[in-house]
Amino acid sequence: MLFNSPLFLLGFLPICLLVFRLLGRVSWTAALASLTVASFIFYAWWDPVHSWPMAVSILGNFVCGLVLVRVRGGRWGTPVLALGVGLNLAMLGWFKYAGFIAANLEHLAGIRVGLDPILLPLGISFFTFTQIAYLVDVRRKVASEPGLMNYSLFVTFFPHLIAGPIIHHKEMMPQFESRRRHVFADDFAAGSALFIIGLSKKLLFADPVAQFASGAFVAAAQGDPLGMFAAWQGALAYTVQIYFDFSAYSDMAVGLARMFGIDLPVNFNSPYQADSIIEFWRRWHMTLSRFLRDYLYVPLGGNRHGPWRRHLNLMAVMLIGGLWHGAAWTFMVWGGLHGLYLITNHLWREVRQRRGAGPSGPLGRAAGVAATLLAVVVAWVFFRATSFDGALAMLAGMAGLNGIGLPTGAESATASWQGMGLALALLGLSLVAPNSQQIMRHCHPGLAPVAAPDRFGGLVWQPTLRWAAALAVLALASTFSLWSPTEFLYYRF
Amino acid sequence: MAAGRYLKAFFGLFAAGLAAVALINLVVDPYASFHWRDIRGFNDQKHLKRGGGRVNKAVILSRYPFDLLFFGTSRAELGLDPNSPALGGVAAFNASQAGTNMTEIRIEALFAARHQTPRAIVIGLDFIAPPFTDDLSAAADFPDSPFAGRSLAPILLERLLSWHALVDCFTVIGHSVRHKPDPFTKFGYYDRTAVRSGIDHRKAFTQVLLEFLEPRSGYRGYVHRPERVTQLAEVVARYHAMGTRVLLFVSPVHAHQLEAMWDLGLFPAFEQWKRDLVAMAAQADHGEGAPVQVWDFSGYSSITAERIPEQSDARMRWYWESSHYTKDTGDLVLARLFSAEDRVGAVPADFGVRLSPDNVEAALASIRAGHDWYAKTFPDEVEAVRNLVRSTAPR
Repeated sequence: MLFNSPLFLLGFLPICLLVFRLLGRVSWTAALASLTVASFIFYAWWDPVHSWPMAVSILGNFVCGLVLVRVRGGRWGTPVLALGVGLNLAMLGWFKYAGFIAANLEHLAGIRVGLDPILLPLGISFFTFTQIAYLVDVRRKVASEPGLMNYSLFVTFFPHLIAGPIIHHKEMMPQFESRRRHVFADDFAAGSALFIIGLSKKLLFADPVAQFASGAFVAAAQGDPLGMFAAWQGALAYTVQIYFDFSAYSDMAVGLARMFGIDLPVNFNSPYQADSIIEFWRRWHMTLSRFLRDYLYVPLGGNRHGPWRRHLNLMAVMLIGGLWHGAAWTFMVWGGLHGLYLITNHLWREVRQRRGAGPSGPLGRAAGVAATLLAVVVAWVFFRATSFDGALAMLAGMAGLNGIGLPTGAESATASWQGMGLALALLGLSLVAPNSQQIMRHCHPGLAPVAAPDRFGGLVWQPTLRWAAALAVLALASTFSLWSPTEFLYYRF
Repeated sequence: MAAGRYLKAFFGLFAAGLAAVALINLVVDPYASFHWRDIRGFNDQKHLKRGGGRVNKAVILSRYPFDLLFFGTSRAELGLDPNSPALGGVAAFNASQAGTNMTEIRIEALFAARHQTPRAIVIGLDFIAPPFTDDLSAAADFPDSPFAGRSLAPILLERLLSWHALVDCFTVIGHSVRHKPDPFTKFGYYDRTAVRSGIDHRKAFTQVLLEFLEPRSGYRGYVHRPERVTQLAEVVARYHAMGTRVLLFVSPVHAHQLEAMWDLGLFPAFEQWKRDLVAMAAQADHGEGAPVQVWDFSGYSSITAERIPEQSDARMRWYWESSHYTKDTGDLVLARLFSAEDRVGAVPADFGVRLSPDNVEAALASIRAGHDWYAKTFPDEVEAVRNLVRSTAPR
């Protein structure tokens, strides 16, 4: 079920809210139980038959967590954790990477495995990582023994289940145990406002610009020589599409959870306003970055063993991060590029520190934003392309190797002033506008404090008639665009 | 403002906005989804294509009863006007689709039969037509339509609450106020004359014929599939059993098209297909109700042999190109089928013959003779087609 589908908005969500509200008057536990049931229904709606991997994963990790709680102080703690993490990775590997490995074995070594296509369970990357983090936290004694219902809700809570944010056990369990706030209307007002902002970002920005991205990538994949204009249009359109699509999903997830009185961690903080790649990764898909840092980078040694080891660790983490997005070499290259960017960024910082350079001025910061954005756009080409050749063809077009190719009279999706205009307008918006949680900062969306934006600081949601009218207009515009729901990009990961 | 009051204001404004848009969409009804009656000069120029021709036609078929239904491909969609004078004002609807095949026509006709009992149906038949497949892969909006089993409620809800419906409301009002006809009419007929762009017939003939001469599809990819007639038989049997008069006709393609088939050696298969149709129709008759009629308009005649002008601005009367005939031709077809010459004028005697097991061989022989006549009368045209066939032959 998609958040942006009429079925979800007009059926599932109102029913969930009604039942939650009624049961919430009886007890918080009963209300949470209704959410657990609703979350399973939400997931199974996709394909009931193929929902078993998630059920098995939840039960297996729950049992593993129980065992870990009992043995974590002794010598069995590490082996049990290793077993739990290994089984999680094996399951993820089977469903997500077996086909990729088999295809590469055949391609590179001529070994035919004869593997039938495997249906990728929805959200498997997310629920697997969430539960690996839980097991590690149990081992580290920062997570305690949960009840099965709370644990199930922690994993399946439908706002974050399919595409994050990737949550921590320690963030959620205290909220399940005792209600943070007690006025339903307050939470519903704030949550619905954030949800509508997210919905409109998806339907009014991300979906309309998608057509201007796909044309160029499809043409490049087919080997058509792309002019500079078309290639840049495609790359920029995808750059804004993925931001508005994924951040929309995250806003909707955080907003939905808030409607039920639960806070989720925020996932985006105006990443395209970052003036360095290091900063970019603190602002883009923040909960994945956090996961990779806490459960991969730090255990690998982090920066504790000198600069070279840190660079090696960074590259390993980014390659794995790339592969996490999908079983394809293009994702690896994307991760590898970001690894290179991060290493370069760290080296640059070291050089600047050695020279005693102070903080950048406005011009230096602007140059940093532009350079970061350029690097990110180039990397997105590999992320979006369906093949390595297709990505190189796009980059060749962007480099002007096939001429400029300005749009002529007959506008096409591959090269059109409309497409370029929309992509640039949205890029401009993402560069200067405050983000959703900044707009919502007075009601404390998400789990972390939110800083005021540099610009448009007066744009702050409050329960006023003016905001009610503005959001009603956004909700109407979104409703009218609702009828051909498209998947969120991160549903595929 | 307290959160409770804020929520009331928000939902109040949201509901008011929804109601306002729904009301506009309901009243203007750009796709004739809610009511059949219109106000002339306000919303009479509907636009059936937006939002999917199949979706709209399926909604109409499931909501409004008609006396007469047309089924077929784009040839019937462009040629058969439900408001043709030949029909004498009966309530007719053209359910034909562009880019379709017998697999889809069967589904659509059976769908219509579940929702209404027309007095007659007319099915325009093509020996072979784009997209040259027997599956539904090319039927773009078919999966979204009630033909494919989608329920009506979400479609109607969408028509009440969608941007494109709202935008089309203003298009419909604009066209209606200016009395500007929309090509995709409410009656399911595609009015090509309402399309502003002109047509260079000579170029269009070549272009369309080239499509039929593709190396692996079209005429060259022709494969005999008996299920095409079996699927049609199912439709015929269903309507015949309902007491509906069933009229089948072979589309009047231009002689150019026949020449290409002749050159490619497809005539025997074409003729066998007609024999199969006649046998199927004869088998469908059980002595009850009106007999199933099969008409053949595909022979060489004064209509199908219309001269193709060399000047790009000259207009043909009977054809758009070799495959699609005009409404004037469609009117003659309908006049012949319904014996309505008194309403449209005389139909040329050589245009259209009713086939039966008794006369089918003679009719086929007459078309073969027609080929010789055409070759003698229009040697340049025959040569042009032959050159086109040769130049597109796979190497």
